[in-house]
Amino acid sequence: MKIAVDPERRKVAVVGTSNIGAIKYAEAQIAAEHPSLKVTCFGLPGGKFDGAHTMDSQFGPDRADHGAMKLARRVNGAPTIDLMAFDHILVIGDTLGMPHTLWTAASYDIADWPSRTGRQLLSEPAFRAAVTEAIATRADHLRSQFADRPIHVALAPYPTTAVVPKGEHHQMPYAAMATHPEAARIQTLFNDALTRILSDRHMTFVPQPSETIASPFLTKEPYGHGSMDFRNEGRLLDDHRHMNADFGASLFRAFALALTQDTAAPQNQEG
Amino acid sequence: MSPRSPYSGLPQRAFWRGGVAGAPAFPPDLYRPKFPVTQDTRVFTAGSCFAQHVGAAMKAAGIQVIDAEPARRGLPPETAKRFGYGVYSARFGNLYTVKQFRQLVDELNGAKPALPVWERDGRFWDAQRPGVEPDGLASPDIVAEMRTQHLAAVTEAFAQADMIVFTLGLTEAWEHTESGTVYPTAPGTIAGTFDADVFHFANYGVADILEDFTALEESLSDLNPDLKWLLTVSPVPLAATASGQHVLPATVRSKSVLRTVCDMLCDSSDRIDYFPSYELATSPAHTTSPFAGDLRSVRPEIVAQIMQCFLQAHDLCEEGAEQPEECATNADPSDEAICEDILLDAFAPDAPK
Repeated sequence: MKIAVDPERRKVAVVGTSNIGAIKYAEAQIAAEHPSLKVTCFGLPGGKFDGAHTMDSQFGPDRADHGAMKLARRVNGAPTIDLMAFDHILVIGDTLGMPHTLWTAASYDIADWPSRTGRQLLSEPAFRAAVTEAIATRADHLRSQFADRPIHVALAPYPTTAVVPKGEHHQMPYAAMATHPEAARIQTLFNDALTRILSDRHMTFVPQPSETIASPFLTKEPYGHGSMDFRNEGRLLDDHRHMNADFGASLFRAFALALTQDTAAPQNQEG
Repeated sequence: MSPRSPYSGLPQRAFWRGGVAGAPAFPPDLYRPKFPVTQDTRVFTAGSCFAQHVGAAMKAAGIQVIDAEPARRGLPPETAKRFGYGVYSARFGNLYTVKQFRQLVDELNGAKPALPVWERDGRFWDAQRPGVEPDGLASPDIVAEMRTQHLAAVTEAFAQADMIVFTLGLTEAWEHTESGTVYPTAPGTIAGTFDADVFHFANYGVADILEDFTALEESLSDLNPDLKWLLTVSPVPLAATASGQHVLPATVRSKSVLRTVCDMLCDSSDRIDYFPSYELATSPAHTTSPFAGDLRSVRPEIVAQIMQCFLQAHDLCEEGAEQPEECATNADPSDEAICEDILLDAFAPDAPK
């Protein structure tokens, strides 16, 4: 599928954590599907990404962290990336309050909802407030990392259904969502809150494409096979937390679609 | 040979000059505990909003403050606090009066408060703790279901406790006339509707409070016979009075009654102690006002030093924290207490509409 975005080739930076690997390894497919977009990836491991920030339009790790600067150079070809050089920026990788939301949902029965599992009751207003606080805390951090640049934001992908059974890939609280009677309601509530909170901070949420989702907060298992380490070319991960190139292509399609719907002015108007 | 005067030979702390005038605002020998509090002491905290500071300081000092309805994993801190998690030993909100505390314990024994659910704009509040659900709940049934769970948690908390730390806050309250049920806030403040034919104002005196405390203590003895008590009086003045007096004498009246009750109770039992947080906050030895700009909230650094006096008396300051400020910073004094009574300020004639 080809999506025409603009007659001129526009520059897109895909910036984020190890989860940008899915886009990086889908580069050829993305180039074929979106000839009007030129993509540059810039990734840092999660912890280093969390401490990264923008100085004079250059986004990169803590400049005093020589190890991180060296790693950024090795992986990305440069220790920092000039955000002003891009028309659009897609940021991938923060979980933006999702674990807090899911842990809260897994820890309580929401009093206003019909299902009861014998857990302590939490009122729906308290649950909504918890979701809002969890998202807003991370959204404020993300906003501060990218100064005032408009950005599109995609969550770190949901892990695949392989994390549900007990075993090597088991991962809470996502596994709990497989059987949670209110998982769909929670996902809607979370996505609505995330869209609103990001928008309030001049960020646009790009939801995980529905074609990749097995059930709320879980990705279809095939997307977890063949995932690769963004730092080391050809190193297979297959951890079911990082996704493969098919996922990357699908997510990028959703991003490109969001660009066509985006009423925001191009970001480099000033030249 | 008998001394010239019974005052001769008394220590410095017995004299205003040297004990207060010319002494630090937080004299180290002001408080002599009747019984020790250690990190192993399981403490149940309750009371008016100032009690939140007491509980927070105790937690920070490593004392085992009971939390029978803790914020579970995932619930972020600001939301948890706003909804009453981790504020006291269970989510009962502020217990401003001894009668309110007595009523809570009576409820554990089967008593039913009158008009337990208050409504506003289609939302419903637990009339006995409206502050812990600021947005209310969807139905009276949910209020009842959550209260049942809450009471079970309160029972568990009392069973675990070695000591109850209770801060007495108010003497003024609103009661349901027919039943005598007391409420933490006036009907119509957070929810509900005020009806002078249904509710009446009460301003408890020393005898009323002693009677309520005695009944409370007896009820709790059935649940937990070895309980000790540490009483304090909140230094926070009334936000408003319905007594007809000016709010200043009404405040002094209220605090005086509560302070008298504490002394009488302390004198009556080895299991009841008093910590003079009220005196430490209001001492004339402060070189600057201990109160914030509203002349009501105690400044965080004062709260911290008050609690440091408590911890120091029990040898609970961390090693190396010799300066009062260093020890006191553990108490996180910047945390603002949640107080429903300040909502009354909105009814003042000059309040912004």
